[in-house]
Amino acid sequence: MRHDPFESLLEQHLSGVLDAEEREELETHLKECPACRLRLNVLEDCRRINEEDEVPATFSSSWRHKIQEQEEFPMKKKTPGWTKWLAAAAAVALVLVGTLLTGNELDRALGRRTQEGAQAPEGGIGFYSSINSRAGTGEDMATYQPAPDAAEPMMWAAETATGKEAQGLKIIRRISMTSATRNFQSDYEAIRNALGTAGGRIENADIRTAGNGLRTAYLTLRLPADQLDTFAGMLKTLGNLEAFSESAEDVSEQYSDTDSRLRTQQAKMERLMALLEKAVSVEDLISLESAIADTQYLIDSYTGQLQGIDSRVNDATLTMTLKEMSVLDTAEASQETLWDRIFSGVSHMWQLLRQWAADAAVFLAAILPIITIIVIVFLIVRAIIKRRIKK
Amino acid sequence: MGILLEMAKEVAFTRPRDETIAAFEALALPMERQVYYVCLNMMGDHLDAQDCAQEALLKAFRAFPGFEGRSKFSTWLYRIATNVCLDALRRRNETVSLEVMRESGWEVPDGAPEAYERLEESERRRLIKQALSELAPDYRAAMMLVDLNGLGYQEAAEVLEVPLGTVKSRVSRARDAMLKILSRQPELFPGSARHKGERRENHEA
Repeated sequence: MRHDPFESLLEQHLSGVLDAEEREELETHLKECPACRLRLNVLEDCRRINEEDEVPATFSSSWRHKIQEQEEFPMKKKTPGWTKWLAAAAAVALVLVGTLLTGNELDRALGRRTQEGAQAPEGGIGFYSSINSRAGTGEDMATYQPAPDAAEPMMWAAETATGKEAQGLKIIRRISMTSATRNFQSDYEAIRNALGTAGGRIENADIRTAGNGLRTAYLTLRLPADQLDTFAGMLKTLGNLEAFSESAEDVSEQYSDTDSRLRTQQAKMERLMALLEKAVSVEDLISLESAIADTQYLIDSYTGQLQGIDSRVNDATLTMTLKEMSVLDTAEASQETLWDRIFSGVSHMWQLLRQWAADAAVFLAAILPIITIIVIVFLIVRAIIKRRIKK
Repeated sequence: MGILLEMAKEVAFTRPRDETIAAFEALALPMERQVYYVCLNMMGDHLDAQDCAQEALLKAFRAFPGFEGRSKFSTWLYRIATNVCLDALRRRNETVSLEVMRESGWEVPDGAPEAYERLEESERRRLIKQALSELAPDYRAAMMLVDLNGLGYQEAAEVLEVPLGTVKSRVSRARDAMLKILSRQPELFPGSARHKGERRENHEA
């Protein structure tokens, strides 16, 4: 037995978009069709199937840990074949030469970077240590954000988020950050204390110890949204900030949709109650009772959804990965050993490599228009040649 | 969402590893419950669900730089999770009877809707989950997305990478099959067709 017209009515009923007439049609049909009644009940239960299922508390930290442990860095799949390699080599050479030729020029024009050697004390020994100590004090952050412009959309997103909130819009905010610290225990305590002051709570905390004895804490924190920026600012001062990312999800539309559905049902409830007072026959009473029960169910479910959104809007989520850093990273310039110097040598090279990568990115962006023109010209020429050959 | 995606992609292509992780987490964390429930509803138990959900998120992370934003991030993540589960089910190599999906013509047994309404809510959920696990995986996936997770047909079609009409017919057939399976629970539907049929046969005998 097929119930196609009613199946679509059922679906619309489940998403709460039926008007009064259609609803009446559906209700009349449901009364005389047990099959559709069963179908509706089952589908309603389907929507709430996972209400009693708890997500294991360790799930969140566990997949985040797995991602951290990933050996292979995510890359786009490479298409094999020597032509691709040749093209890649040519591109690398272009970027390499281009960056070397234009990089210094650009920097000088912008007055951005002074010669690094000039800041080092005399002699070769102090050279790396001076670089290394600079790395600890903010230079590190600067190189992690190669292009200064890259930080701007992020700030813009955050500003619009707070601006929108002022207009009564519903924004769910999330911050995710990673820091490395050498004072793991005390920083962890500091986070807990600051969280208490901010009126937040730990939703999940998982501390794991790696093979080398270094610990990593995966924290999921919930705190009042208006405290988020202050709290995140405080977290940034702990250890070395390695990554920071912020998102603002606008759920205003979803909220107002649900809200208007709730209002519709509430208005309907009032009408039903008024009818109930006037009802005389038992039959009327029974059908009104059943309509009231349905409406109450919808009111409860919409109210629950709104409360859920409200709680996520009021309480922002901050996920933090706090990594313990080896003391090797923090050698003082005054007591440098051979190891310290090797270490700072390597880290200096790393700094340079990253600097170079940033320069390369700038160069690539700069030559993009030229490449576009070349490609267009190439395509036109090819098209012309093809046409000639056809003729 | 648009700005966030642009930022995330920019981060994924040009910044070091930790930035990629943070960008991925910012997008994936709001989705982790849904991912878990997708896997739970596909696999039927928490142990397999957790394995699959983790594998899905890990796969998504590896593929993240290749994510081009042609579909929503949530759709993309649902697709990966659903495929991981379908693969796992294939490996599990359970034979699901397709008989119930093919049968046509079926009447709701007398008293079944009333008996169903009388059941405890948790008991009804248990029955639905049981019935869900008896559906063929492709049909289970379609019904899971539309009826359990509340996705629209269009989005479900994008997740499953099949045409819209296919999703609609799968969902419809999965619903029918689920009702059939449910109404064959003799202990819960005392007036079920089979019971009545057997009784009638006994009478005739």
